[in-house]
Amino acid sequence: MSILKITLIGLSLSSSLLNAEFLSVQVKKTVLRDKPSFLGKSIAKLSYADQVESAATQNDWSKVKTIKGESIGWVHSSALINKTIILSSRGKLTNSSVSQSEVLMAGKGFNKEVESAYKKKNAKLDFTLVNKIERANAVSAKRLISFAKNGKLSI
Amino acid sequence: MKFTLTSAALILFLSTGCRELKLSTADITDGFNFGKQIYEASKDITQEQEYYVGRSVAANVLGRYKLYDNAEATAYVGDIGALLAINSKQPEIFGGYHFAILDSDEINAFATPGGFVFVTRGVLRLCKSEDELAAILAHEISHVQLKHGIGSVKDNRWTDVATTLGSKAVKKYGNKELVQLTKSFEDSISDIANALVVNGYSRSYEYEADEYSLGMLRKSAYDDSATLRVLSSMDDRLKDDALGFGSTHPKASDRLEAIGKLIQKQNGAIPTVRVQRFKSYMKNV
Repeated sequence: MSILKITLIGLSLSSSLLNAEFLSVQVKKTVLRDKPSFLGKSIAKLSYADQVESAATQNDWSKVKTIKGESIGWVHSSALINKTIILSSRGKLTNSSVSQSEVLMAGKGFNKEVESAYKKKNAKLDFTLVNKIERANAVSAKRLISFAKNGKLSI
Repeated sequence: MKFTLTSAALILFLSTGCRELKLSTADITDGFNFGKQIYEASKDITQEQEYYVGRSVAANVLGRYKLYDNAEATAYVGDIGALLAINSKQPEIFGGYHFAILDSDEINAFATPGGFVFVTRGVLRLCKSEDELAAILAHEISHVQLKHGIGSVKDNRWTDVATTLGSKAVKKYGNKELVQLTKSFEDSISDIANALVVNGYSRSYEYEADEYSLGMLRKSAYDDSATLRVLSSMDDRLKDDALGFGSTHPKASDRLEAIGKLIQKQNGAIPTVRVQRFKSYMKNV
């Protein structure tokens, strides 16, 4: 391989690295899929604040590579945000080149601790019912596909 | 809620979600002025915070209404809601969407920030088809995605939060900060619960939700003209209603007039299978 080719490949790689957009998962949990659709097969599980590198977009879907496991797949763009999310357990932000406008502190403001303090002040409110509703409604993809198909609806 | 110019500005900020807004480095300093404090605080309402606000608003709704104990009907409402959410612009939110039925004859439906959607038995009985029920749920999901609950919080709550937090990355609050934040939280919950249950959202929020809901109805292949039919039924039933939906929503006839122009076409008769399953799940409701 000629020096020119190696240089060109090098330039092209560095250019793609420069253009890489790093995104964070902004929902509690989601799934990396093998195609840009909720019907796609699950490749990996993603959690709040996980970082991914954006490779492409198609309609409302982003093709991403996970930083942790280097899996490649599709995530709906509404699950992502173009900021670095810092979980409190991960300590301080050490990269001084990242400005505050590019960072979200998980748990800042209204959080579990504030909810607990609110619960204590409003002891009559029943959060067990709220938890029950949260647990009850996880609709599986299989069930939803069948629900849509039976009802002549689109998914 | 009185719709003021300040509220409109806040909604504009909130409607950008958590996307980065263009601020210069100089803006991100400890020397915030009053206006910037509101700006920063409202911008910083992350999905995680909306989720915690939503949980507490939901607890308040459940303090006023009993949950309806009918697992089959609840799962059916959940299936319709999940399908609509998948076919909406924001299928993924922090804690996901959750649907529940309230054991009340009142014709009413609520959505909290963070994705808790409630419909009463009264509103289920008003619906004559799955498509009409889908229209109600799509309207409520629209309120979530358009952040109307958060938009009902008074501006000064954000100022209070901004004052407490400053621009520093607080990870663990001191007792004083926690007391202040809890007060702002409590006030915000109260603003939203009042908007949902007592005063209703502004008329513009209702019209906006009606229009927005059509996208997810069409993408799901529900008949969007079901919105007209269910609003028409409401108009008949709620003419003299001083409680519930009639007191918290604009007159259905006004909404009908606004949204009527946007309905593209009637898709013809609703498929028999959809008619049958609606009857079956709703028979004891």
